[in-house]
Amino acid sequence: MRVPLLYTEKDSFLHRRDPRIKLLLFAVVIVFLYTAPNWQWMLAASVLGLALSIAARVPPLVLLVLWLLQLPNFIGLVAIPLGQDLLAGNFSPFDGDLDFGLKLGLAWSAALFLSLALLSTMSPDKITDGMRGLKIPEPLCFLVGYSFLLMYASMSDIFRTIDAMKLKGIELTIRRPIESIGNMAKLFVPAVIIMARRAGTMMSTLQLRGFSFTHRPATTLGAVGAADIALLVAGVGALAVAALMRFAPAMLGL
Amino acid sequence: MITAQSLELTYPETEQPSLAGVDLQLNAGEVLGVVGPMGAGKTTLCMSLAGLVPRTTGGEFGGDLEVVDLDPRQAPVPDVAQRIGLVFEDYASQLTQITVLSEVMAPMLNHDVPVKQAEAEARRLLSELGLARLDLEHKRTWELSGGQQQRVAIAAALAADPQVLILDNITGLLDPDGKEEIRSLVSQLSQRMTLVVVEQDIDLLVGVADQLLMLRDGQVSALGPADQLLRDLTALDDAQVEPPVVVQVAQAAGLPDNPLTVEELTSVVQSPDVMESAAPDVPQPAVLGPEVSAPVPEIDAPEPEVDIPGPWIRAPEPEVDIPGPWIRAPESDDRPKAVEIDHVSFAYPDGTMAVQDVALRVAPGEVHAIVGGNGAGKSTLLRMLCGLVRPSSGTVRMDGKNTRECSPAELARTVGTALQNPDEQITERTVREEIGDALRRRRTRRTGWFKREVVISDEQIAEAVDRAVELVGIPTDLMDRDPTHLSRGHRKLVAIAGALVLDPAVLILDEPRVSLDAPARAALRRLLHELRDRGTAVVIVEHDLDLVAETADTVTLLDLGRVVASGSPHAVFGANGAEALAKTSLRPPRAAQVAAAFGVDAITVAELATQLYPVKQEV
Repeated sequence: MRVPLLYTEKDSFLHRRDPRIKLLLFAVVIVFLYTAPNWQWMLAASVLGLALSIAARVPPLVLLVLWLLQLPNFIGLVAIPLGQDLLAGNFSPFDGDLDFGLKLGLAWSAALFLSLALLSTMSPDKITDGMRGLKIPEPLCFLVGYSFLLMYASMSDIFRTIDAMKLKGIELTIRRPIESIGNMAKLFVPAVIIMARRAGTMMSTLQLRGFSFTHRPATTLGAVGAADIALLVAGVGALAVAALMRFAPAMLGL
Repeated sequence: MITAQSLELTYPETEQPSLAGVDLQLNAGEVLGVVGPMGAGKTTLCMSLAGLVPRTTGGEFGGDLEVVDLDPRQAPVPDVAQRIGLVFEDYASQLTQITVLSEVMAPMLNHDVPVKQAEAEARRLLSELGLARLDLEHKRTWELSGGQQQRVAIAAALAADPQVLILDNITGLLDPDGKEEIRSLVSQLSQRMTLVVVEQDIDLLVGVADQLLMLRDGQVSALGPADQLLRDLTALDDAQVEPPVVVQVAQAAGLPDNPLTVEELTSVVQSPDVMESAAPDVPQPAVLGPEVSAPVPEIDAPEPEVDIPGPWIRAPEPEVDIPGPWIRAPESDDRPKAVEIDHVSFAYPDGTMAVQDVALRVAPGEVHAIVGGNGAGKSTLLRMLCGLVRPSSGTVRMDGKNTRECSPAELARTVGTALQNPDEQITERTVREEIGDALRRRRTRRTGWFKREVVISDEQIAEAVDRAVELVGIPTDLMDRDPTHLSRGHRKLVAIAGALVLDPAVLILDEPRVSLDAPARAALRRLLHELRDRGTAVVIVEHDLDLVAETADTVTLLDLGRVVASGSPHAVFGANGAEALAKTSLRPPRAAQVAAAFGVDAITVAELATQLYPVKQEV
């Protein structure tokens, strides 16, 4: 059973970068989202993220679907409050700080595209190896890797169970939404039973395969190259400039 | 190496112990075969030996147990993990990594084996288990077929290099080549480790197991040298285990001894005593088996007709309940077909062809088997038959309905399907409710916006459930039990009964024999004969060719998504089909392999038994 994966199995400039560098850049992105001085920076980050995602060869349909999924955030956080203010005759929304609303709305897109560009170019094994390379405690590395496996394996189970339910006459279809909601409960039973059975056997297997959760060498890491360093420097540099623009005026009393 | 005395285990919230008074002694390098019916306690024994019960399940344990100088139930987990390996029957749940290669490398990395050495060893193990063709670095574990997952799990267990390896019913989903690979692997491994092999396919234990343990209701029903117990019909019957095929042949042919191997059978048949006893003036054992009590003076039993196209009818001569031999009825191509597949192909979005240009037809009352090795395209074809997958090209018609034009749920009204994993289908809280679920779902019909009329009464549902239960042979004391708490074999029977309750025109069974014990397999054979008589078209997707040879009327042999042979079981599995079969990872049915040693073209035990004496007389 094939399930949708976060990892895009292609070869691109970003795919070839060291996972440790990409994880560090991911951390930089998170800090940047809280540091960006204004909505123009956030817009630039969104555009850059989109460009990098395309460069990372993420399928355009996936990009569109994921962006549409976060659209309710933009509508809820920006469009509706903006509309309410304007309809109420308040032409300086967000207490006169439109920049805040736009920054918040664009932050979702920037976060989506930038993390997609970085994480979709690393297989789960590379992500956990990158974490090990950064000396993150093994239980956390194991937890991340195992979460990916459980997520994909559970999705595979659920897809198979949905198929099996169809053969029992239980369908999930948009044409009959109320009936489908009722049928979801039917799907719940086998899905949970399969996962519960899986849990017991998995725990036993992990014990017998010697998973100690204390140490484990990384298997896929090579040497960090010049391009990796350059990319990290660019990311950290951009963060530093953004932070300066955001905090320097206040610190200098300007 | 393994010593157990009065071993006991009772799971939480149960009164009946799952293991009671089990005594066992196994020396280093020995192979212990474990057999018994469903729910006999085989898996509990395996988990006890590996220290997993009561550690992961809870429960009360008792008795003494020592495996590689420690009590695995109480020893620290890392110590147990370094000594004992276990491969579970549940193939999917024991995969812990994303990719195939990392799955097999993980146990070695956990034991501080250098990365490069671990990778080389993992590749070697995977190659040894027939998985070298896979993209090992990128293939995800959940995308593998059941048989491939089982092989990866075996490789991962071997990677830890344990001193004791426990294999819990691991060959059920493997194709015949895979089973043979496991058999030779067990032989090799026995030279450097101690093995406990739980197996439903008892022929795999012949020549491999040193000791045989027969369990029933958690207790030892027999324990002793495998060479003796495997031919002890009383002990085998008591443990509800089918005898090995050579023993079955000898029994069916009425031979005085119970040879266990082909070599022994050859010597017994060739012995002067037997030849003398075959003379017409001496009272003879029956040609078709010991159950026929009357002496048989004639020894030239009629040979079954082969290679005549058309549907099959049962040959008239056997009076005992031995399946087959079957001969063909006159051809009648004008019969309406219940299943019509015309030049069907299926490709995945990435262009990989799973099925290519397959065509087949199944008439009402015909049992058709789709066979092939792991990865041959059987599962994809099955998913097309029940409407879950639409073909990329070509047409699939089931009971006259084009699968492109109706949903799987609509198709399910006349096409019943029992999937390989019964857990995917079970939703109800009792066996009775589960079997009747498909009918209850259709018991009313909408007659207006807020109106429904009852079209199937509760009595009709109860009767249909009883009929299905009787057909499948589910013990009646299970009817009010929670189906998810039953053994996997019983859950499978429940799923089959659930598929039959609508009295479908077509029944599709995906690997029906996996996880079933001897009585359940016998019930399955009876079910298939009954369905044939009732006019139900049956499609079995199976790689157990013994079952197919005994029960199918027609066969389609798939390899790499293409049909490489089709026709009667004789045409596909017999001497004429050997060339096509050899190209796949399948091997002829076991009876055919035995028959080949005598130069006889027979594919079932019963057929072989009818031909043994004439062949030997010519000698």
